[in-house]
Amino acid sequence: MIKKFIALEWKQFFRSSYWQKSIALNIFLGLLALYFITVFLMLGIAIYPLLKKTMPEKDPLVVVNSFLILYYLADLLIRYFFQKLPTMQVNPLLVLPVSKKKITNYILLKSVVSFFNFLPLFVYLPFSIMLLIHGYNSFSVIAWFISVYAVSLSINYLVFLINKNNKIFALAAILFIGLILSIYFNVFPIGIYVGKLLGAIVANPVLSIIPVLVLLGLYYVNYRLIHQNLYLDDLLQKKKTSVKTANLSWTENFGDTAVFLKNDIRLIWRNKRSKMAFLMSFMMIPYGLLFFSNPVYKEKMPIIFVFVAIFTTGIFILNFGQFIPAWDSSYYKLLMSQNIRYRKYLESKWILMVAMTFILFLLTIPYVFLGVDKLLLFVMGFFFNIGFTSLFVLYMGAFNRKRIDLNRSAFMNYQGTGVQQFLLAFGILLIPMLVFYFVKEFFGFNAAIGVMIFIGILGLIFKNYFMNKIEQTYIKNKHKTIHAFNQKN
Amino acid sequence: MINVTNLTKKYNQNLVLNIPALEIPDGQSFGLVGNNGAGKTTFFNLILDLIRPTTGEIKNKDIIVNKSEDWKSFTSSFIDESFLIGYLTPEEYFYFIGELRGQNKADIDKFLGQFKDIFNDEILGQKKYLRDLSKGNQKKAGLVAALIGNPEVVILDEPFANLDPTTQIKLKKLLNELANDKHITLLISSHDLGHITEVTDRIVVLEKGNIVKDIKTTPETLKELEDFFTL
Repeated sequence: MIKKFIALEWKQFFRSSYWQKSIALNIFLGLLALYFITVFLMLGIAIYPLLKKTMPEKDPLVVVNSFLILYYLADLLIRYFFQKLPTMQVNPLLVLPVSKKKITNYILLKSVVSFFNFLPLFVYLPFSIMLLIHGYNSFSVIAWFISVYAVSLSINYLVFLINKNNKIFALAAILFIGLILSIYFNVFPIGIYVGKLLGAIVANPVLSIIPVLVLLGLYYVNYRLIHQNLYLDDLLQKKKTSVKTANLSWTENFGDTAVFLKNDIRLIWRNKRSKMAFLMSFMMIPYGLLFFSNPVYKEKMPIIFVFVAIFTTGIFILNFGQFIPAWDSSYYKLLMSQNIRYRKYLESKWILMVAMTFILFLLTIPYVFLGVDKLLLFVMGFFFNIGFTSLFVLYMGAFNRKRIDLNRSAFMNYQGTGVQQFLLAFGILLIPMLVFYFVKEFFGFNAAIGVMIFIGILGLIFKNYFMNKIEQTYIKNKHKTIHAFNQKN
Repeated sequence: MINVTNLTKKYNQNLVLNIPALEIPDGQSFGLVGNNGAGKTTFFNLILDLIRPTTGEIKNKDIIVNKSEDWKSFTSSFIDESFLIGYLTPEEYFYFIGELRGQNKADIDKFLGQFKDIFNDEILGQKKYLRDLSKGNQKKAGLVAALIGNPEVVILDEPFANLDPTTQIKLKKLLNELANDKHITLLISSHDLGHITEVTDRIVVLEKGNIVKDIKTTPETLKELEDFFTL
């Protein structure tokens, strides 16, 4: 039976059009995975000699043990947000002669086959080998390895519970925040206790049974939960969201684009993926601190500041704008059969992008405390983005052929992303950097800022001309776009 | 009202629709019947300029649909659930369509009042998004939205599918009213031969893209169609 399940999974994976279509994307994700594996592997190998060197008077294993709790907490948080829960298309299986026990066990065991569970091995294994090389008792090392990995797997199942049960979520959230605060204010040295516990296991390898029992316990709780709730109206039910309505009558000030503007605001707020694109924009505001505070960039690569300025103020244009008109792909046919002008539709998207860019710009003003030149950079970013990037993104949208299902979740969801999107993001960030670089080399910093602002203002002055061109391109591509958006995965 | 000349649609040399000539006069209620793959939805999509014809043209009130967009102001349609905006509540959706068709909130509220019995208290004031409604209720919302703004041409693809018996009967009554209104040209398709013969004045049967029957609806039509489709 398990063999059949695996065969199903295999087919599901390789037959999804998603896989067949975006090879570039899969290469990108593969590289990302490789990057993390390398980093973890290097950490696993280097941590022992590094600790020996920096704290020669302490036992590296004890130091690692006392810090493990921080790693686990971070792991929990990252998994909660990023780890996809193992789902199988179980609906068709429920009425077939397959026992629920088998389905449940399969779902739970499958969750172990996750990148998040393999990654820690790249730290634990090399570190364990280093311990063996340095003459630690081999039973102790094996016990330690079993224990720390059992905890990692326990986190895997804990996240499962947190995701499925609101009470457990609340409890976990309170505990999590409590632990973070206690670590921060040093009230309750949890790290020391976890360290002591692991120390006891190292001293007495038989005790490694405790974390293994915890793991089995969590597995059992999960098993019970899934087994009992394997019903269409329970665990397998689609989550329904309660309606949040807001008064959007202020959009009436934007005249006849208001009707679309209202819709776009609802679109952003009521769908996970667009909401994430929106909220992520704000998280990038402090990004500049990373670069401005580092003297290396200031001396060797001031061009990176241009990147920061364009990126921080233009992140919404990048995140949201590059999927125009795919956001509306699921009801594109409706829009195209209504009595509307493309122009109004495009105009409303433009206003939205400009408004968000302005808000992001306002939020970057505090950077003025790091120097007026920093603020000038953001002013430049603002004008360049509203005058050039926004129109450029709209134009490229006419060639957008990838459907987006709004109902699907946001994290690590690359649906609707093609090579075009990567090239676009690349171009949007690279072009201004190059322009800035050359002008600056010949005429200096201020002239370069001036030229960039000028390009932006030029875009604004000739906006109507460009918008006409963009509109014509959309009309020309209308049928192709409708056809493409009709293709479901 | 609708004038078709030399219309063909090919996909990779595969002829899916071939209508040399067809005229649907003003105010007619026109029914389209045919098995799966007969080309019903393709024909409706062509009238709405959602796909391009391979040859020929369709005129809607003397406007060639793929040359000008002026037909959109008096034509409305509900083809499938891709005409719904899932993240809106039904009310918001109606207001949205209303605004596009030059109707204000009060107009829409008044308009929706007449569909109270069709909605059966399951559409309005539910605090639910369209995507969370049942298939049948989604359909009701889409059908009603297609009547907003006094359209002269109404195109409905399979209006009876997915609806409960009570609603089917109510919808039939509603469509009959539209059919009797001489200002409205109604185009519907259906797999239910009984319903469509009750609602329309004229029935065209498509088979593999070709018109094989074009009959004026009489009490004998149902029998004739049933015989035709019995193999």
